[in-house]
Amino acid sequence: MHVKTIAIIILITLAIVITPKPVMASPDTYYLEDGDVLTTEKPSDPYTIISIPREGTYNNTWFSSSISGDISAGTYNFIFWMNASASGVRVDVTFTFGYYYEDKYYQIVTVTGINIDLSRNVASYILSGSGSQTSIPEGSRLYLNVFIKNNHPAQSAYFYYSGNTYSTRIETPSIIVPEFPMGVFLLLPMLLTLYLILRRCLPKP
Amino acid sequence: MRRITLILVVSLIALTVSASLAICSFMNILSSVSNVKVKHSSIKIDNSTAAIIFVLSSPKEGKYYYTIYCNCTDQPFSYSSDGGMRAGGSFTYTLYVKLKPDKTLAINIKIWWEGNLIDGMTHYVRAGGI
Repeated sequence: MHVKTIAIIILITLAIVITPKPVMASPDTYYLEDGDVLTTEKPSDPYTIISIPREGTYNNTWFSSSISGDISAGTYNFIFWMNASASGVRVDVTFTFGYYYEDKYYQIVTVTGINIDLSRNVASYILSGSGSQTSIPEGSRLYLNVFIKNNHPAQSAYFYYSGNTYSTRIETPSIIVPEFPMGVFLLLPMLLTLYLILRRCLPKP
Repeated sequence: MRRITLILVVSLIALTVSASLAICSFMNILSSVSNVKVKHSSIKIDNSTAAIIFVLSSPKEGKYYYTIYCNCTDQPFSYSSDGGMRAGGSFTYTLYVKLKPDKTLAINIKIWWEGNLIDGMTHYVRAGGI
């Protein structure tokens, strides 16, 4: 009876230690960095300025490193910094957030803001949209596409990112990443122990 | 006699398991052939801004395409994109438009799934109400 109890305790412990545990990835803010990189580390100055000429467009995509897990349902906030060469310049801004997996883009959320008024002073703007819960398969990379259209016939618009001062970024709902079960490394020694206990204590036929 | 009972019990368990698997498989087939769903909504953010939203969800993998036309700019506004969706996935599109007191905006959304037009919707929005 005593041996059985020990065996059961060891088996329960084994089950617990080898079970993957979900953990919240923190932070859930991704910054736009030079080199088209989407990173959780806040960039440092100097920042990067993109000039969008009159009636011109800007289109670029940033990628994170490899990730997998579940993104909770919730709100995506794209916070970006812009100004213009004169007041009265209006732009249309679209951001698309999703994941890139096996050479395919899977969109989670797209938000478009039409006729956003810019001023001469650099200011932050925010576009928000909701997304459903999404499972991201292993080997995926998160991506953020930004498309800006300058509607003014004469003036330029400017988009800022990759800086501490103008930290253009996207805030996502919590990303739950399954933690690697470190207890796997204990699996072999514990099974060996279990075997030795059973061999020693059980009556031989 | 005991052996026969044992065989019967084991057979019964195997039968139950296989029946459960068959039901699960059938339910899976049912859900995969059900229609791709599109949910439309519009929200008044403030007196000068409205949000037009659609959520596309599907129990099966596929490709979609959508177009959005709006009379809210001098030139007709349009936006379209190709997108892929995995089984059980969803995609949300939000469009913020600025409202003018003297003008009703018409925003037309069309959505294609695997090359077939599956949904069309026109939102009419104006300042003070949607």
